[in-house]
Amino acid sequence: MIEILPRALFLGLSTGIFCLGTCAPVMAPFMLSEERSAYSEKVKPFLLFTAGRFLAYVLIGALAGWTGGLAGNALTRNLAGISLLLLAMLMVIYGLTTGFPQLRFCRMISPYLGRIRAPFAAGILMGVNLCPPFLIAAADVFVMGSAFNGAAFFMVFFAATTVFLVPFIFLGYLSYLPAVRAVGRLSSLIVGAIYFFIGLNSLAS
Amino acid sequence: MPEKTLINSHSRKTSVFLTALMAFLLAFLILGGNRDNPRMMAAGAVYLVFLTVITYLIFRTGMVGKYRSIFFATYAVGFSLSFIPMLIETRGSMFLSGEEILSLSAPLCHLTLPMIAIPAVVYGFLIFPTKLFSEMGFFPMLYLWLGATLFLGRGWCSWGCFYGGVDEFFSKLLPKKIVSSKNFNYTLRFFPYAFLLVIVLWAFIALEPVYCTWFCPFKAITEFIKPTNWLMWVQTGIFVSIFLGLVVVLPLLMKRRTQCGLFCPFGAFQAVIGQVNPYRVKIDGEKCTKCNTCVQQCPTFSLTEEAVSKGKSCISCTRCGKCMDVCPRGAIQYSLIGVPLRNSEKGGGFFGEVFRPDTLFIFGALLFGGVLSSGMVSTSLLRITNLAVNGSFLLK
Repeated sequence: MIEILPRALFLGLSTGIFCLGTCAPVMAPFMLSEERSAYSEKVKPFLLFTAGRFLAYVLIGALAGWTGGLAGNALTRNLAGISLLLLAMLMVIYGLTTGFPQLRFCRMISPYLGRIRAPFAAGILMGVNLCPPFLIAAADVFVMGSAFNGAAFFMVFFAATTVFLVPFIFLGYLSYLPAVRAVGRLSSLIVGAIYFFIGLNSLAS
Repeated sequence: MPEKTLINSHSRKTSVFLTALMAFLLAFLILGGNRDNPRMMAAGAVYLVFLTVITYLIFRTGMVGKYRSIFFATYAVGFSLSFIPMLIETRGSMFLSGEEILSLSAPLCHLTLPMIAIPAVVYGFLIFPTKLFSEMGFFPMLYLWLGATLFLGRGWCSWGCFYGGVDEFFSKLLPKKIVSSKNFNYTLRFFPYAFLLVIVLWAFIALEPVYCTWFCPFKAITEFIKPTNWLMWVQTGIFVSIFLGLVVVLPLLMKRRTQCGLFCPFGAFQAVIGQVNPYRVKIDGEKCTKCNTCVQQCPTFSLTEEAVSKGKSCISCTRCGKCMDVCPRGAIQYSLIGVPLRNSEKGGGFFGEVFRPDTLFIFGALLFGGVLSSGMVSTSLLRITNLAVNGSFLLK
């Protein structure tokens, strides 16, 4: 089993720039939208998002290793489409509740959003999305025939790709500026609208 | 002449000198390049007279916003009337064909620069189908942008951008605003920055100029890919809707440049990068009565009550001069970093007026915009003449 881990590491390091590009539009709004004073608070959205992504990677890795495939093209495409739609809704709701808290809808939904930990949920939904590095890693896992090996492969792959996301921690320091927070909240709405369209397109095709 | 003396007005002597200097430089730069083409030279001469008159009126009256607006709208109309017929002459329609994309022949515009920068650095190639060194390729546009940033900062959006004038044109058509912006939510003025962030990241993931593909409203007056499937029809519907909504209808109703102020991601990019330019718009706290006339009139939503209380415009300010035109106390002026604000409209004598920050900015901006627009406006004049004589906009 040990021989597959360096492969996962190098795969993660060589394709991590794509992970950065894919996760950045979702992560940036969470890092920028809310004012946080303590260091631990600044890092919190990053850690929650990363934890969500980790959970999704391990589950998908174990599932792919166990079943020897991603359970058919149509199902995986639908899963990706549905996760994108859910992610889009989450981003829109997050953008609205942080940017326009005075709206009646936002006052109603805010407590629930806090309970599900929006960055964590976004990490899970982002993690099950089929970005190119993810698909390459999944293709490697198919031939293993073991849930444990699959999960281990994805854990290492996750660690390697996360290195590229670390700079996002520093975005949290910009959130003390009201203008930056407004940009973060509005970008959450824009990302939500775009992902909603992409999700619909994925389901329709 | 207006009843009151405006902060940017100059004495007759200084105005005549600055106008003569501008006319000389423009004649050298505009007419010098067309010596082998008498028709273009004649059209250039007409435009030169127009620019000379605008220069005199700006300096003499100090109504920068008013007369710049006439120049800027003329520039935009000239751009549209020269570019669209040029496309029809060369390729038969406004459609960008597959061959042109494959041969990297699409003209690059400045709006794409923020999107193509990161992929170019990371992967070493352009994600836009253009050549590096062709006439309307990457490097000419890069140099133009660098020059504009150094000379104008975000002033580019009110003195040099051939798209911004389209907004301006429509915002000037009706005498009074129909939709009041009294209850306008000023959070929305951050939309271009958020949009910039998203499209830069999205372009990096997708490795395509997503703003051009999906959103750019100015495809309606330049070029676009012929829709052949439902997805392309959606893209066409989006950019046409944005053009009609933000470039035509809202500017007409609100008398504001809604596309430039609330949508354009390049404007946001230019606002941030343009901080390297030393010119600013400042408000004299001693003169200002906080009447907020400027806040209500700023075309790009770059003045807020908070900004006024801080004595400066927001970074999105396009240096259009409108606030200076409407301020009843003459409290708003162009300034240079490190140079104290002027206390009165008068004073300083001839040299004092010539070397004032407002004089230097307006002169540089008008010269830049004048030279940049000359080819487009001159060609459009030829096309209008051709339409009157031969019944066609097409010259070939």
